[in-house]
Amino acid sequence: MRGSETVDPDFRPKNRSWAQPILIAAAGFVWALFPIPTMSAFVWAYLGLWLALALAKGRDWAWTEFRWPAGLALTVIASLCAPTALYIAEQGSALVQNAQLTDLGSVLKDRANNTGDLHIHPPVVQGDRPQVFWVRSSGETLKVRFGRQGQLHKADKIGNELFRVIYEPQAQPFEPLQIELHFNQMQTRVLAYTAPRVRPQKLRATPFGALAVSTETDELLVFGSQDMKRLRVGDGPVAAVATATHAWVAHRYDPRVLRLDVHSGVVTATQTLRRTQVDIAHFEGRVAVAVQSPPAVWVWRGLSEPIEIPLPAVPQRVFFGRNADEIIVASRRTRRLYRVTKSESGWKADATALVMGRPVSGAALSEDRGILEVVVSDYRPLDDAGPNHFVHPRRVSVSLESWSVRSVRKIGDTQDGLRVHGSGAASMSRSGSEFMTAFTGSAELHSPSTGFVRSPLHSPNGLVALPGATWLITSAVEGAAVWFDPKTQQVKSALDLRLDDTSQSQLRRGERAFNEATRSGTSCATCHPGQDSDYAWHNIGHGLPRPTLSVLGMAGTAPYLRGASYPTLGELNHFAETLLLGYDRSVPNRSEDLQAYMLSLPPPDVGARLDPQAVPVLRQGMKAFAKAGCDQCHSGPAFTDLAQYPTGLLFPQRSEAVLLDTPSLIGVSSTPPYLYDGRAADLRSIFEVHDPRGRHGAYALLDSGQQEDLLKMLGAL
Amino acid sequence: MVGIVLISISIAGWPSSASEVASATSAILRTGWAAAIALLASLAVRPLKRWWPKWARWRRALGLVAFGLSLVHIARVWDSGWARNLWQVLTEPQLRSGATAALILLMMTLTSAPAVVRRLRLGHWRLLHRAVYVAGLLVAHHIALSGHALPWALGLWVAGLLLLFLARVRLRA
Repeated sequence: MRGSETVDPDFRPKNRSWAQPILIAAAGFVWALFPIPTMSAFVWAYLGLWLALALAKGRDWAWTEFRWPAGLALTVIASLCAPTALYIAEQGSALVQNAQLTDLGSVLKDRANNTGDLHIHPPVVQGDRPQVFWVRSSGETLKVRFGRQGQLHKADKIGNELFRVIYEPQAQPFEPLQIELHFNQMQTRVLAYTAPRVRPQKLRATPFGALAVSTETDELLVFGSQDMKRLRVGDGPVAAVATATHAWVAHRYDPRVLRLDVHSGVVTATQTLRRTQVDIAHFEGRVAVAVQSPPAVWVWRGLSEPIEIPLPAVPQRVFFGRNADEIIVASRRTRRLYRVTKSESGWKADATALVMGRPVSGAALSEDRGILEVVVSDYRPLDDAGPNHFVHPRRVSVSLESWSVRSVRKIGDTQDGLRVHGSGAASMSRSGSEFMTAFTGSAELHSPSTGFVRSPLHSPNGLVALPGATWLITSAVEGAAVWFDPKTQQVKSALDLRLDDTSQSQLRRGERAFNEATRSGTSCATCHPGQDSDYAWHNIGHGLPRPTLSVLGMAGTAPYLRGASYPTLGELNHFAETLLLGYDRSVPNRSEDLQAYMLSLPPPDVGARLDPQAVPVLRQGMKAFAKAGCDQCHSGPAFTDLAQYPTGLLFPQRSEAVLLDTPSLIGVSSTPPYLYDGRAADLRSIFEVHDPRGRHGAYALLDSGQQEDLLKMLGAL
Repeated sequence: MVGIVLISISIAGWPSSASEVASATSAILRTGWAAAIALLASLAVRPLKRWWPKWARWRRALGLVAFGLSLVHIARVWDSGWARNLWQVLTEPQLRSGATAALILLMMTLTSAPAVVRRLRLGHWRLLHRAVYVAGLLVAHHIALSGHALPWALGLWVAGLLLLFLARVRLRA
């Protein structure tokens, strides 16, 4: 420094000490951590004063010479710093939180993984279902071995240093608890492994008792008056219906629908449809199966050839209406009911859909089949977002004769000494003229004759009446079923379906926490039914309602939420404890359990993802993806850079000044609407309608063929 | 100074991607990292002076380069909509840390003119300029929260800063 060469190098000020720089440093750092403008003013006033005095006094200047200003400055410092110091001492964790230092490690870890070579995503394996894994590798070829004893499989090179691997658990057995992937360079990656759990679902009354399915363990559960039989069925049973002797079982991953003898378990017939079946109904010899991708209902009678009826929306539930020529379909995606009827010209969907405004949680037909009773977490006929996140469970009566909503009733707040917390999820069935409802969130059961009854099982998801004044109750969370006397409220018999479940106990606790209603009446499952999304809009602190995100496939994508405000999933419990008013039940490790459960959930199932024919589509699409610059932000095997961008950069016309987390594109075709405020109804409109300036990728640089390739690729991710 | 401006503009304006968002982000990252590295280089002069005495003359220049690049970085941040108002700068930890670090660098720059140094005397000047390590910590915080930093690069930068700080303390002792 030339200026210093003219002065005495041994000069030291009289008050030479570290006190000032430390004070300056501390004050500056505290201001940086706290959003307190006065602290900022203080810091810069202090520095300015110091500089001005030093320049005015020059050589040999020391603080001690300025007794009055120094005394004043010290008083100001003390008065400002003392409460700050006290505050810091008391709110140490808040300080760290305010600086967003909490769990920063997990965010950096996920980012390090996603940017590393030979990284695989998602980092979780669900042992019950086929899954797609993406691997970043700079090599030309890649082979993958699932488990030490598995065979080497060649991965499909898609381009842009990405490979795709399909894992089929039935063809590639694994070792328990964890799975290792061996690459051609003999590198190993350890993924979190989730073993299939027994989770009875879709409990339905039958002439001989009841039926349920356990999707993960590929079982049909046949319930009698006091016993149960477990029958092995295809991959991923989703629902079953039965006559007196036979049951039809629909599957998620097996394209077949099986007809079994419920006594022997022997398969007596099959119908081959498509994967991603979601529900099945049966009436007067006709069977209807709802398929997610492409959206359709398949119907047949006896063993005749099935007919595919395209649907206007992705189905979630299917029922027969007044007769076998009328089918009702509930769609979670559109939160509507659709009717498909058969006429002389064939099957045709009604032009009018009934708006529920929220996904159907449970439904049952009246005795004369003229009324469909539906439980929804709220009824919003205008399909509006509503003012806030809170929901109000309703029972909606739909007249099938006039295809209109006949009445909407509030489900009681306080009745029989029990508080109905809200459905969260609910199951509905009918016994004679009575409708019965199981409320998963608050663990309550209801029928008109008994009123509200506390469920003997946590998170009940199925309730049917059996002969002999007995209720059969199932709980997927507990992996259990009980035969219950509603009059005495005593358990007649209980069945624990879990075998060696010790390694899964945290996941079961986490799933219970996910389903458990808060004091506001809302649980995680209320807005994330099926761990997915209710496809509705909620305001959870953004100021404006935003579309609900899916909970599926979040592992390895920290930080979370649209604004990346939660570095770990466990911290989402904070949201339930504050905005949703907390839980009645005190649980010591609820956050950890909830986090473990949510991290175990794989990405959403998309039929096209598992299609072997998708490889050329993906390869072509990847070229367009890179040309448009999509890979700059949606990069790596997770198809996200795990970074944030301001709204001003992407949407300059918007006034909000918030950061937006780059979402993963895996399973993107199943998560409409798009963009942070849900303005884009489909993938095409993101580019063609909502991005005129080409800020969301250089889509306009692509020719029409490349644009189609890009959209097809996104549909197959 | 002309060189600094030219380097800054070329780094900031270099198009990097077909995507406008990616290009703007890349420019912000390049200017930010360039400023951070220049800051580290300026801190490295003192410990390295023992072996390469001629390096000492570069310290001031490197500090000014760091400040110049940080100004370009701030301009790109503001221009791209990352920060839209002062309140956002005050309330978002990432922006708050970066802005504080920039203000400390501003103070360093203002007091680096030879006349000011002469007026302040070396001791006072040193006291003031030690705040550069605080700026370094704030920059690390800023980078960690930015959501765009490669973790290994951040680790390397923080390790460098700590090493230089320890070397500074040892030299002083």
